[in-house]
Amino acid sequence: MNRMKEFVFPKLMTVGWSRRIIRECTAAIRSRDKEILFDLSRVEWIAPFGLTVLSAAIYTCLDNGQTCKGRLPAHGKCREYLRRIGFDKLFLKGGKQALNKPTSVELKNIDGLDLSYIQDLLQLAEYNFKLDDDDLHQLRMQLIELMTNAQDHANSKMGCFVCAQYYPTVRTLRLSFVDVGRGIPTVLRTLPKYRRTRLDSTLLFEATQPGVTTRKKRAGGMGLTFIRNYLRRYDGTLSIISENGKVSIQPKKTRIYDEGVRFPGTAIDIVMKTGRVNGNA
Amino acid sequence: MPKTVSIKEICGNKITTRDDGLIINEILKNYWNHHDEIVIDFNNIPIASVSFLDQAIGVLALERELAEVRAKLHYKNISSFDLRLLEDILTSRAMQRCNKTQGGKRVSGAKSARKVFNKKQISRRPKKKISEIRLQLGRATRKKKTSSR
Repeated sequence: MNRMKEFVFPKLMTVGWSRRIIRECTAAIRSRDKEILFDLSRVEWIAPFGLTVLSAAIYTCLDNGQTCKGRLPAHGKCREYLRRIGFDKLFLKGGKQALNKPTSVELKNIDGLDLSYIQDLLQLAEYNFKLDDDDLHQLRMQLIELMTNAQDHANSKMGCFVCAQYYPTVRTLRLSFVDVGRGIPTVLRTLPKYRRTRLDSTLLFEATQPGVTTRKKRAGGMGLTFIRNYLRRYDGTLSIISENGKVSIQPKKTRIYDEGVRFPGTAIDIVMKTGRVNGNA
Repeated sequence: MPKTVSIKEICGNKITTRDDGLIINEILKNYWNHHDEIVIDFNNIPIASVSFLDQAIGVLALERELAEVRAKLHYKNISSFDLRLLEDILTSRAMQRCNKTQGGKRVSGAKSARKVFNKKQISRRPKKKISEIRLQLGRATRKKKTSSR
């Protein structure tokens, strides 16, 4: 008899709760049960990080031939939001195909560098969020770099999930990228210099340093550095979670720690303050 | 006479990846020794791709002096954001080159790297001997003791 296995998610699906979210998602991916239930009934707040990680986990489970069912949040606004962006379609029959249909630019599964998606998101940002030219350029730069990274280095079978949310009262844009390909520590360990580095978090921090690249006989290693520098300049935050490591680069401090749970891929979360330039800029 | 390289004519809409940037880089390298000035025309196209700009122009600052790159390359119809991004890329690459040329020693921290880049030389502090450090520590503790009294 096939029993349905339940995975319960916390009230807040934000990057601060990454450990709990990743633990549940990796357990779902690893489980051999034919039917999986993603219990989101307790969820009250779902940020791009939570959405993308969850979508990637569901996608991987569907790819493994498992049936995924979902218990949508009891919280009215949260449930309504998930329906609006087409997230609940993941749980319908043939969920993977349903998500590929154009639903919303806010949550999308993209395969490689998708310039039309960047354009859609920029248009949405320009009209709805009223971002200025500098913010739009910065957003474009970050999207291009992260998409190129996922395509070049991660080798992810499903491409990557992108989600964006804007909070008008605090003028903050949150953006999240998740792929389930090769993680940054695995890729960096192919270099002789980092072969003996044990901690994944150290390697994640190294990846944000200028000139650190795995491209052979070619220059590189500028993308993440520039994203980090520009975010710092604009009071933003960059969080990278890959395999066992987590790095959170904030304007005044950098936190590096090991998560204890292994995420099979890379999740990048960006918090960008819009329409406000710091004195350092 | 300055040579003009038009991004739109050469790359068209492909202005995002490193492979696209490599085409421009090769053209610039071909023109480098034959022309005193090279004008890169961006045709008012917003690029905003670090990969493209780094591979096309930034890499040149890794191989040559930054002053030489700045003197030879001129930009036309470029957006202010791209110009700032390009300047940042060139500075980062020049800093990297500077660090490499200093006996392959990595200078840790952005501040110290910038210092090196500005001064163009590393002033290496002579390593203190352990006995000297002990002596200094001793003096410091003695001072503390006297002040506490």
